[in-house]
Amino acid sequence: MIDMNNSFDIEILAQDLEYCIKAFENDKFDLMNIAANRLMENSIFLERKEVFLTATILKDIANDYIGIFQNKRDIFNSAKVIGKKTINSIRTNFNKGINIETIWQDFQEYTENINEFHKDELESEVYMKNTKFTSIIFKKILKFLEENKESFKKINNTLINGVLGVMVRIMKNHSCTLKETMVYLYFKLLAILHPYIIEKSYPEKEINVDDYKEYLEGHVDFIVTFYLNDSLDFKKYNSELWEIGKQFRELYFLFNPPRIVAKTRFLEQVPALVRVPAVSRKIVEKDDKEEIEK
Amino acid sequence: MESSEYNSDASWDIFRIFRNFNKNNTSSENLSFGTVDTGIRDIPEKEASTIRPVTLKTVKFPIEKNVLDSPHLDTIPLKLNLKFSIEVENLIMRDLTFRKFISEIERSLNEFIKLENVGLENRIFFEEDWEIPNYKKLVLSLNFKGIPFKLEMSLWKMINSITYKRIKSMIPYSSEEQIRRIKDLKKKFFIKLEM
Repeated sequence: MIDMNNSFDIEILAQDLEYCIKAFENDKFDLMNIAANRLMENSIFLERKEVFLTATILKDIANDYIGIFQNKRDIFNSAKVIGKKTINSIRTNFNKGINIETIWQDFQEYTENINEFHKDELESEVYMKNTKFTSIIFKKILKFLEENKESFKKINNTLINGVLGVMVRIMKNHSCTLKETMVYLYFKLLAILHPYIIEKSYPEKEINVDDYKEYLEGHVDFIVTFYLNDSLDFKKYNSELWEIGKQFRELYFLFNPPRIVAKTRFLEQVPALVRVPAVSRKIVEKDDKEEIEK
Repeated sequence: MESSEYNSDASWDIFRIFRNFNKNNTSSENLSFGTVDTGIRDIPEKEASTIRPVTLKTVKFPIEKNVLDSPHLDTIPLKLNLKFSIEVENLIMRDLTFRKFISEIERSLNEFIKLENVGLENRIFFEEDWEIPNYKKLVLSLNFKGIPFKLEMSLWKMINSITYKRIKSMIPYSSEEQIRRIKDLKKKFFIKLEM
């Protein structure tokens, strides 16, 4: 439980949370994503790690519903029930002082249920729950990641999105346990940070060793050890997640929008459920023009 | 460039053009059409006779907008607003087969709306049967607004047929336990017209 006695902090964060919930209720999922970003940023400024976790989860929920609203409109009302129940529970938890275990329980239930709605009609007829298989694949893919982590130094590597793409597919079709959900959320955030690390290195083709160690290697090592050693240390995990969030927000101030995002069309930026912020065509064209002029 | 300098240059150009049009060519400078001096193209006689009078139109310059690659989500309205009772919502959260059952009902309603393009309000809830204690019916309540009764009845029949067809289609792909549950839900399921 965290101390929610500092009413100044809590009032600000509660307003962000309320805005996020209202955006959800009104089917404004783009706004919900923005509201979650605000909650994320303010929780960093106010050093509230538990609130940061809440914000990351809300951002993920917003991203899910952006996809469902676009692609699964024929079952949208049924799917929205899952988010509604989870968000209500998050609100209650927030008002009571945030119990981390409860947040994770809620998010795990949410993930299992919402994945059913991400399946297409045929997938939901065919695929059954098999968390043992999910666990095997997660182990393999994390080992692969560990063996290939040096490739993160090359700016054109797609390792994070590749890993995340597999995780999303496996979790959707075969379901998952809390451990996989935690790894998934961690990679979601790491995938958001990654383009900013690349931008920081521009125009170099490689990320320098210091940046690699500071922004990537440590995070990868942590999550691999966390999963393979079977250790569900919520507190330590939360600190690491918060650290990624902090780095993301710092680099966001300095390098937004990263060239790699600006040059990609919105739809190309959505492999499976992995989303990055939408960028206006104006920025893309401006950037292209600049390059031609050079 | 200073503005006064620019103005004097421009006025000198206009003066030179004006003089040329008036054939007042006393100047030593030879101005001709189609040169950089005037910027006006020399038109041969034949071509000139075929030229139609020009109607002046107001030219609107395109307004620069930030165009997103995909349409803004909030601009696409949902056609179906299906409401659930709290009890139904709780079961959607807990029970996979029930969730699938409800999703099929929603798909049926969307299929119906695509075919008929009619506006309707819907609710799904559990209703206790006063004749049989502990028996709860699962009710889909339909409300067509401002439609004659006869037409309402035919639309109700159509929804019935689409929905039950979809529910039946769940069976071949379900486990034995799920089939039992689907059959049980199907027995309890009623589509009611709000009068």
